[in-house]
Amino acid sequence: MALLSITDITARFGGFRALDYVSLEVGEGELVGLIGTNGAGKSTLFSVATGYIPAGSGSVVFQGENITEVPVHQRVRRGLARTFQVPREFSHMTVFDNLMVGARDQRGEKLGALVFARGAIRQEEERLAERVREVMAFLNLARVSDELAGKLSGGQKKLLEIGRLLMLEPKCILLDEPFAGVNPVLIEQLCDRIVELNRRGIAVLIIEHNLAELARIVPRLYAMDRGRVIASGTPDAVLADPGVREAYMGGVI
Amino acid sequence: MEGYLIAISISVLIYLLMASGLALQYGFTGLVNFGHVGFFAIGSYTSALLALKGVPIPVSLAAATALAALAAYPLGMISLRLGGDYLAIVTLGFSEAVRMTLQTEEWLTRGMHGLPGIPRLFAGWVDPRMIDFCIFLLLLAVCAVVFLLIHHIIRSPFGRVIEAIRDNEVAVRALGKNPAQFKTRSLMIGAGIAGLAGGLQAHYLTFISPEQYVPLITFYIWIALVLGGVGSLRGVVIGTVLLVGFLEGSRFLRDVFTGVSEVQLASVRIWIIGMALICVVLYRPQGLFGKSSRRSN
Repeated sequence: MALLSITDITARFGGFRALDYVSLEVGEGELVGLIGTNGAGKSTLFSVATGYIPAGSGSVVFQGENITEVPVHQRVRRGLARTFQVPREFSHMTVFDNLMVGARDQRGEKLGALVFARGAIRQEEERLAERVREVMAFLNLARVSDELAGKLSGGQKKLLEIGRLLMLEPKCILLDEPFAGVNPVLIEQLCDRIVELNRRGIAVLIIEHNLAELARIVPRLYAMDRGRVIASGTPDAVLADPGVREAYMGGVI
Repeated sequence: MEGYLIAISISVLIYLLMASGLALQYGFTGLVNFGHVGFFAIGSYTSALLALKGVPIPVSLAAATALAALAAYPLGMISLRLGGDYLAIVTLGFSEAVRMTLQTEEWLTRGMHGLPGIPRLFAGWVDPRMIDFCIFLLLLAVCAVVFLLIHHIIRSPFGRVIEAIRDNEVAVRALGKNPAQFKTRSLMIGAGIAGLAGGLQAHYLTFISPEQYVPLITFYIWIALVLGGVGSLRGVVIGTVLLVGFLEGSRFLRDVFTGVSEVQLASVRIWIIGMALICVVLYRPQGLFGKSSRRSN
């Protein structure tokens, strides 16, 4: 059974059909790509899957449970997390604090505990700080630990967003164009980290325009065009698909 | 003269208490609360009415704090699910609704006649001539405790989340946290502090009436915050001391500008505040002691 199954999802903005009965599956621990031209509905699909946009019809099932009506934050708590096309770092906070916010269910977030469980909170903070240091080491962010997140480069912000997701200990992450605006050297590093995450058992679904990089790391690919899934399979098969070539190149080649 | 200085100081401290509540809400959480005076009024009337019924003042003050905080709960639940500026409109409407209610529900509040004879703090405990000074000391202590409390809150994991909400609410949701829940709690704490300030003022003035709780009070606090700098507790203190000190102290301008009528002088005061505000916003938008981050100090 798939970890995440999206079935016959529709979404409309006024008269525009952004998603037209889209179905897609991500298996346990799988690494899957999602490509498509601008406006194909990829990000909208992410938003419906994670609850930012309500589905017009269809269902989102995660770990066997129908979460179509579940609010955003509760989907995340179940282990389904995402990044954004434009990084949404907490710009006035340090990289370290950005990551600290990421951890789930902190006792110190409860006001009562602030008064009655100060010792426990201090211990929890130390434990989280340790994990933050691990995540920073993993993503090569240790150097900028005390920098304000707003001052990071585009690529570092993307890494930071992924780091925040890791603090959540998710089961499945949806990455929206992780390579956009990132310099080639850092792309290499990002790819490497994403593959490593996947190797550790986290299922990953990636939207990306950089087809070459994507094809290199994902074993399976979906292609969307005008709100529909038009092809799926191995990267070679999908990129050779006439419909995909038509959508991308306008039939020129 | 000494008595006057104490009176000004008490006034400053009551505003400071209110301002600290708004600082938590706006400065650290980004909540635009235009109805702060409404919670202040609820605190004043709650504590006054209870004390008039014979409830001991510490208990009535606790009730004032609790009721003001509870009043913020539905406002938060209604408006914080909607984004952005709804809270501003809802809270402004709320504070005016509170004032209207105080005016019209005469069976409870005596309406426009106001509530006279509210038991004074320390009455019967200390020499009557020392009461003002004792109230001043009490307020100083309350302010210190409240500021420590807020400091503790903003440095805690809870504070980290509300700061993150101020920066990017969508991302906070993406981390599995419900921003409305955190914002409602921040709103309630700030409202409770305003309620406490209201109660203390009632037991200092011994007479309250609805027209003391006009929106202007809310905006004075906003001016103080903008002047001093949002997002920093030091800024709150400086802004409030400057503004209220000036508002109360500018009566002495009379002695300087002889030959200027009372009405003109009142206008001059407002003009000076307005100019100061414009200059701060133009040349130092973060406020005199503003900070962009709680960690940068």
